[in-house]
Parts: sequence; structure tokens; C-alpha cells
Amino acid sequence: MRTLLIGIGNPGRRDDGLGPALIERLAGSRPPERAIVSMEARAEEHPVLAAEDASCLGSPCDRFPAESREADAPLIDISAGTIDVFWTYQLNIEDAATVGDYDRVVFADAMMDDTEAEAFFSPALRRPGKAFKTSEDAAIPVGSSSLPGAVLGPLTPAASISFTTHEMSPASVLALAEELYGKSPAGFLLKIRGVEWDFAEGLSAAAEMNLVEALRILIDFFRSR
Amino acid sequence: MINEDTMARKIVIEPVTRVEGHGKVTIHLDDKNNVAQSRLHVVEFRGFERFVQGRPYWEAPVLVQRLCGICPVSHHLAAAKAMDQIAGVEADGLSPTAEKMRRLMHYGQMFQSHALHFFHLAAPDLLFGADADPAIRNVIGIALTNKELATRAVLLRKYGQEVILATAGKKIHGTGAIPGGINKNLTVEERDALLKGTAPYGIDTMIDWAEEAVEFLKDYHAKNRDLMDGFAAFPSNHLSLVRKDGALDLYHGVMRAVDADGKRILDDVDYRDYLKYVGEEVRTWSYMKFPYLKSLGKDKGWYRVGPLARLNVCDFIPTPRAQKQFEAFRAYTGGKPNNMSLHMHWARLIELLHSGEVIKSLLLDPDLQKTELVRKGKKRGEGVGLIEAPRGTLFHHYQVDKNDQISMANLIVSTTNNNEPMNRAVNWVAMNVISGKREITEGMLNRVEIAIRAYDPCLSCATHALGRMPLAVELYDADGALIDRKTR
Repeated sequence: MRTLLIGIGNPGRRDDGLGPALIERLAGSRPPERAIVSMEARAEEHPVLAAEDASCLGSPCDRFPAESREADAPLIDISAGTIDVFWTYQLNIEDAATVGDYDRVVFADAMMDDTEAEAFFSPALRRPGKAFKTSEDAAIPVGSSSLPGAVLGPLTPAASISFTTHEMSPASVLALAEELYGKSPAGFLLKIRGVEWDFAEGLSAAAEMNLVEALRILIDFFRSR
Repeated sequence: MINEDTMARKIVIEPVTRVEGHGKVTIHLDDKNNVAQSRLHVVEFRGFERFVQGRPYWEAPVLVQRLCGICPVSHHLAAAKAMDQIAGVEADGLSPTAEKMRRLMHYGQMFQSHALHFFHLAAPDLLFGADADPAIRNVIGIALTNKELATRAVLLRKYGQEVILATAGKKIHGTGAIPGGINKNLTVEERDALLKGTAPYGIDTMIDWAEEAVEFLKDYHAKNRDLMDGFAAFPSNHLSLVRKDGALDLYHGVMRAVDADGKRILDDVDYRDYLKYVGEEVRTWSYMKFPYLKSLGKDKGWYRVGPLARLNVCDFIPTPRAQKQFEAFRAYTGGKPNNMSLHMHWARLIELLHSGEVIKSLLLDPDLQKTELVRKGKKRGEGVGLIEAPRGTLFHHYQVDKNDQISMANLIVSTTNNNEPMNRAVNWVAMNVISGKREITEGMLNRVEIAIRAYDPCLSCATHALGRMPLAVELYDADGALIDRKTR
């Protein structure tokens, strides 16, 4: 199985850079924008993939206690295929051709506020035991909200319209791949909560914690499927 | 549903962004349901200027690309042009290789951006109409109903990005331009790949397709004159760069402005003196400033920028196939400026064709394989760079201190330049489509979008952030209470 993980966002706008930060943590360093990095080639030596040291995921390390891991299992089991990753400021039409080369695609993006989070965290996704595990049991309260720091869910291709070329949704990319290229990769959306959006580099402390949560969810997802 | 109360009401059309940027249209109705006032609000944070302050000046051309994920090349080159001056090199003092490489990069950017706009924003409106279901009136709908058009659009954009890759090092957010020049030339292999294209399409095919797109638009126009000519048409001033001989030039030139009848307001002035000619008005209800020509004042000095303005301002286009199309474009209005908002699409496609022709001529120029890349001069403390970005004139102005660190930055992006025209376009829709109605239909909302879409506001630039803009409509009563809300 070929999997593509796309981190979306602007690293120069604090927590808007959660998507690129996710890719950076997985790739070991931040690759150039839109440069596809294959995790397969790094599987043996990469700390995340090899599960040698959870500290690479950020702090606090005890969110990934070693004893909770299966002794011999890598955090990401890529034996059945490859995982490619890249990050970008925003999606566009040509991404439809790119995602068409994969069996499944995970879009990782920052989520801003409670309104958006409420819309995304549908009741179905909140229920425990769903195939697409949320981080409900490890929710990280931010501000007045008790919503999870990150959540992963399935994504259905859907057309959308905008009044600017500066926006294309992950669902639209999937829909365009289907209509233009006849490709239908399974789509997933990983939303990570952010709280700071100023003109600066680096994530807020809350976003750092949510990023760890996102990595945990992602790793669980890759291991289970 | 819409409240039928005849009291004064406020309708809010609010595209909500993910980050902080908001594009929001508010329409105030009087007690007879007539439009009393309409406003387009765009939240603009002026934070990016602070972001670059304190950074070494040579970093600016790379840093400013973070303004936008769609047209970073425009910011890259506008900043580089300003930094040329700080490095002591005038715009016409670059080596031929450096200037032509930058031009190739810029016209590649223009090519891909205009192709994207046509496919993403214009074609869905033109092919499906304003009353079409939004579920169909989008790029997916185009792919479903006109697969060849959709495929061509993707390949046209891809070609432009390949040009950027060859000149800037990356398809997006490249680092090609540096103060005083460029950091690479074009290899023979890169040149040949662009001439022949990544199989099976080369530059000649791209030019042919661009010309066919212009013909498509003209054919559509012939069949839909009322819509194309009447929708959101209003007189305005127009501003852009032109080459010193009056030719269309998207990379460099002098500032020229004309009024709605074609009379010169700015007569080919040096853009480094832009502060003498252009002011920025702050209005209490909007975060985004309103630029104006000082000689006409705040009320009458507003202007359009972008493809329509450029074709209204220039005297001719210096490539043959685009010039032929330009002649037809100008003839339609009897040689006078064209003030019809939807003709922006026509002008944009003529520029697409022109960009393809320029790319070909540059690829055939042996200067691109020469090796003088950078020139140096006596450093200065200030630089101004102007460029014609896809959406219009883009201003970058910097000052640096004795430590070579940026102490001041002022940017006027294309969307800010078009602030008043976009407001006028929205007002046209409000007055002609919504006024007197007691219900806001999907078609009305679509028309508001079409008016804004012609200008393709770069909200990422204007707000200096990336965002997502689902459309919401909220209806308030005379007391300001929300009585209805519509979302897509």
C-alpha cells in the first residue's frame, strides 16, 4: 500500500505551521516545500519509525512511555508499503494528480477555533471504539474548550467553490483526482488544534502538545491499518 | 428563510477563514428592502512588515514569499527589485542574464496563475452560469463536463510551474533572485526541456492553447453580451506599470494611470517616487486600506489594477499574437478604456497568451546561458520595488539600517489596490440584484461571488495568512439581532 501524508500550513504563522511541523518531526528535518520524502528509506534509522526514543516527538516524553509500546513493533509498520510525506502552504489543482498515485492520503492541517472544531468533531467521531480513533481519551484542554488536541477521520471527496484561487479543500483535491484522473485514493483528515496565529515561527506550547497527540494518533492509525 | 420584516435590515455575507482573515460582505437594507449601503470587509493584519524588520536585507526576497502560496514569485521579485537598489544596482543595471532569468521566472508565474484563475474561478461561472448549483459550478464540474478544458488548464499551470522551477530552483517559494541579480542561469538542458516540454507538450502547444482560450472567451462573449458587458460595469481610473515606450511590461517600467476616458493622470513616472503619487486612506469600518492617487484625492483617486487595468493603460503588446487579440479588445470599446468587470477575464487570457509568447522568446535568447549573474554597487539605505503581479500592481518598499537590517517595510498588495473597485463591484450586485428583494437566493449570493472573483482577491496576501473561506450569510434585524443565517 502506498500512503501519502500532506502537511498543510504556513510555518511563519505560529500554529498554522502544525501541518509542516508534523512532516518535520517525521522526516527528521523540514524538507523543502513540496519535496516528497519517502519514509521507507528512513525506516530503520528514524527514531519515530523505529520507536527507539519517543522524545523526538516533542515534550513531554512520558506521553509515550516505552512500556506501553509493543516490544518489537515499530511505531509505524510500513512493511506492507511505503509512506511518502510532503508539506505545502496550500493545496491546489495539481495535487489531484499527485494524490492519484497513492492508495490512501492523509491531509494534516491546523484547526483554529472551537467553532470549526465543533463542526468537525461530529458525534460519530466522538464515540469511542470507532475505526478512526480520536484522541478523546487523551484530550488536551486548550483555553475554555475541552475538545481534543487532534483528531483523525475519514474524508469523502466533495466539490466546493470559492471566490479566490487561494483555497482548495482536501475534499476537492480528492474529487478532482476522481473526475480528472479516475483515481480514488482513500482520504483521511488529521486536524490539529492551534491557538496562536501571529507572525512568528515556532509553535505555541499548547500546539506542541497537540502535535504530540497528532503524532500518536497517526502512528496508531498506521499501525492498525 | 429571510425575515419579511420591512424594518431596516443588515445582510451579512461572511466568508469565514481558518486563520484570522475574513472577507465579509455586509449589505444594509432600508425599511423598503432597498439597499442603503454595501461593504466588502477584508481583515488585514499589517504584521508581516514587522516580521521582516530586523532581518538582514538579503533575506527579504525569500522571507516575503511566505505572504502567499499562490503567487510567491511576485513577492520574491518585487522584494528583489527593492533590494537591488539597496545593493546599489538599478533595475536597468542588472546583467542581461539576471534580468532575463527574472523575467522568465515572472512570466512563468503569470502563465500558471492566469491558467489557474481561468480554470478555477472564471470557467465555472461562464460555463454553468450564476444560477447553477454550487455543487456543479466549480472545478469538479468543469472536469465532469469538459474534461479537455480541465486537463489543459492543469497542464498550462504545470508548464508555468516548470518555468519557475527552472529559474527559481523550486516550483513554489524559490530562491532564484538575489540582491543585484540571480543565483543561476538556464542550462541548455533546462532550456530544451521547456521548449519541447515534458512530453508531450512544449511551449508551442502552450501558446496555441492559450490562444484557443482567448477565442473561447470571445465566443462566449459574443453569445452573452448582456452579462459580460453589463455585470458590475462601472467607470474607474486604471493604474499599472508600462515599458518606457508604452508597451505592456509585467516585470518593469514606469507608473502610468489613466481615467475612465483614457486621459493620463500619471504620465510615466518613476515608481521609486510612489509616495508622491499614491496615498492610502484608512476607513474606520475596514482593516484594509484604500489606496488613491493623490492628485485626484481620496474620493476620486481610487483605481483598478490587474489585467483589465494593464490593457487599458498600455499602448500595445510587444508580442504578435497577443497584440492581435489586444487590438480586438481595444476596438470593442473604441480605443477607450474598458470598464467592464467581467472583461477582466478576457484581458487575463490575452495576458496568458502574451506570457506564453514571452516565455518562448526568452527561451530562445542565448543570454540565458551566459554567466554574469550578479552585479554590485554602492549600498544605500532604501529601495522600492514594483512589479505587475497576476492580480495587479504590487509595491514593496524597504529601509535598512547601518547593520544591513531592515528597519522599515511597507507593502501594498494587489488586492489592497483593488479594495475600492471590489467594493464597487459588490455594490453593483447589491443595487442591481439584491435591492428590493425580500429573499436572498443562491443565485444572488453567486453573483456577489462572481463580482469579487473577477478580481481574485489574494486574501492570503491581504491578510498575510492562509485561510479557508466557506460562505455564510447572516441576516440581522434593525436592532442588530441575527434573524437568519445561510451557509454553503
